[in-house]
Amino acid sequence: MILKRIVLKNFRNYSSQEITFNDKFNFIYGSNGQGKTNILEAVSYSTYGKSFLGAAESDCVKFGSNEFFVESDFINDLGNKDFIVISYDKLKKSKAVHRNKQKVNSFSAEVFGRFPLVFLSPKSLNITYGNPSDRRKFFDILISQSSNLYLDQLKELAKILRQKSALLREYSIHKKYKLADLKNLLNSYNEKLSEFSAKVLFKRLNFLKEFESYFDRNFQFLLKQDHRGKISYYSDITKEVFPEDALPEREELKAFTEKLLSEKYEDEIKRAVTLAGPQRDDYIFKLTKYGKDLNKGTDTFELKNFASQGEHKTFLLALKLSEYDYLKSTKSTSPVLLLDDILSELDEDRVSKIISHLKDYGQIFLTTTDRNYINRLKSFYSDSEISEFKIEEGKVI
Amino acid sequence: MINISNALDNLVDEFSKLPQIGRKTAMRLAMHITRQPKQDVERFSRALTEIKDRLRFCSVCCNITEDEVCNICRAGSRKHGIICVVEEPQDVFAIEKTNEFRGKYHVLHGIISPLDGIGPNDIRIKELLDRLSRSGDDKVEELILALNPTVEGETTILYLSKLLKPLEIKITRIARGIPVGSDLEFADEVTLAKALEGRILI
Ligand SMILES: [Zn+2]
Repeated sequence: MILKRIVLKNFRNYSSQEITFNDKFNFIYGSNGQGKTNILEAVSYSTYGKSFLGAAESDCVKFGSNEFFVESDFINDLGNKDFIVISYDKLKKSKAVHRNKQKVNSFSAEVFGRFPLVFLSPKSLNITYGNPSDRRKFFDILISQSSNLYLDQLKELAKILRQKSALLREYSIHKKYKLADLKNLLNSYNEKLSEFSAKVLFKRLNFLKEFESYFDRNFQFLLKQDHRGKISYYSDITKEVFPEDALPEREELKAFTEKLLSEKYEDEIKRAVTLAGPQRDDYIFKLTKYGKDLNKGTDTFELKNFASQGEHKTFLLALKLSEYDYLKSTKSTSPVLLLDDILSELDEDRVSKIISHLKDYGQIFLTTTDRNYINRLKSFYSDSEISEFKIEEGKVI
Repeated sequence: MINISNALDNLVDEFSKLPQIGRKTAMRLAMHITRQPKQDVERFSRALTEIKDRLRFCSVCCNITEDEVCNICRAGSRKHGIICVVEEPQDVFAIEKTNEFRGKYHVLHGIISPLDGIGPNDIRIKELLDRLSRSGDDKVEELILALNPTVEGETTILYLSKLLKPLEIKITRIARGIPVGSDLEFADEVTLAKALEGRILI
């Protein structure tokens, strides 16, 4: 699947702009604040249905106008055309999606499920530097892209937790419930919580097992042989689980959760907060360095506490590359790769390594302020495989 | 903003209290009323007050009725021993349309949802308990919990089954699955996956 052409109307700082893309590499450059990232954002609208930066639709409407349009022409592997138009009306607060001039559901999996999207921006560093919630979010979105059922289970889990918190709050603050009612209801929520925690944990652990093989290979590819990257899963329910461990069955996970919830039961009532569940879990990133002399053994440490900036970046790139591989294999189509202003953050050598690695697959869109970087790319791509776009004040010039 | 008429503001306020009616729609409805002939408006307003005067809750099943006890509860032809518990009166209409259920109902008028401030005492659970414990000769043998398969519905089902356990009544819940008339291949994958999960032995 190739994004051939895009037209932006009243989108961000673009009044009206048509761009014809290269099937392989699209090099977008210009000074800061001219609108480079906005093009990637439009690409993410046309493939993914929303902004990859998580921006609200109303923020994407050009100042002074009421409605944006992003029109895009795709060509699939069989050579068939697909014309997608996404529009958002700020006054009506309504988004519309048309496929080949027919209106379709604005979350249509038929339109947006087809193109996996992988992006890398300076903000992506949150995955290794940030909080457990940043890591859970990264993996949850990834797993959801190949399983709508998982997405549904996450939503139900979140709902159960919100209801349970409300129950505990209402009891302790407003004294709304009799103790017998509180206990009955708390048991009911805990029962549902155990069921859904087990489902979510089971999926996450099995996903990690599959993901690890990609990650291992990519990490090796990016870094010297004497380093290994490792991802384990930490949960109060299971303690630390490594992908190579024998993974627990769903029934066991449910039993573990039930046990933990019963241990925390009185404490949860007393403190009026939920104290257990997958909403507190974390993915642990570890590095192992092998000594030059094999007899000297190894040194394993947690990325979060002890790694250098360079090690963080390598880890992140290996994660992103594995995300790409995982989506490519589960969706059986090459993802669209957006590289937003990452050259200064992630050193050119490693980025070049990734690009050389992915060049035979899908389309790549890269933004940078550094025009000279294109010379590096030309060692991987022939002239016809790369298009450059200079951006100035909301125009391609 | 210029105030055109207090009466109009009043009406718009009242309309916008209705479910799913925003200010804009409320204004449109109010304007529509101002253009109607007076006798139509009077009929409308009579219908509104009448429904409050005439409709009440059945003293047995809590469904809406014009009498002390509703038609279904009074009907001798219906089984006493089996009660179908639903969230809202419209669920009774839906099940009645099937012509397949010959038992009686109990309408909860809501569902437990702490997020919305709705606990067990805010819906008709006490009435259900009273009804089950006083049913004397026509002992209730089965309770069908026909609640929606949402987080709220599911936890209300769990709550009720724990609460009613000492009464030793058979408690069942309705199955969920693929809607009739839709081919398997067109069912969305989440529905399909859930139906697979709830599969039964044959
Ligand atoms: Zn009745």
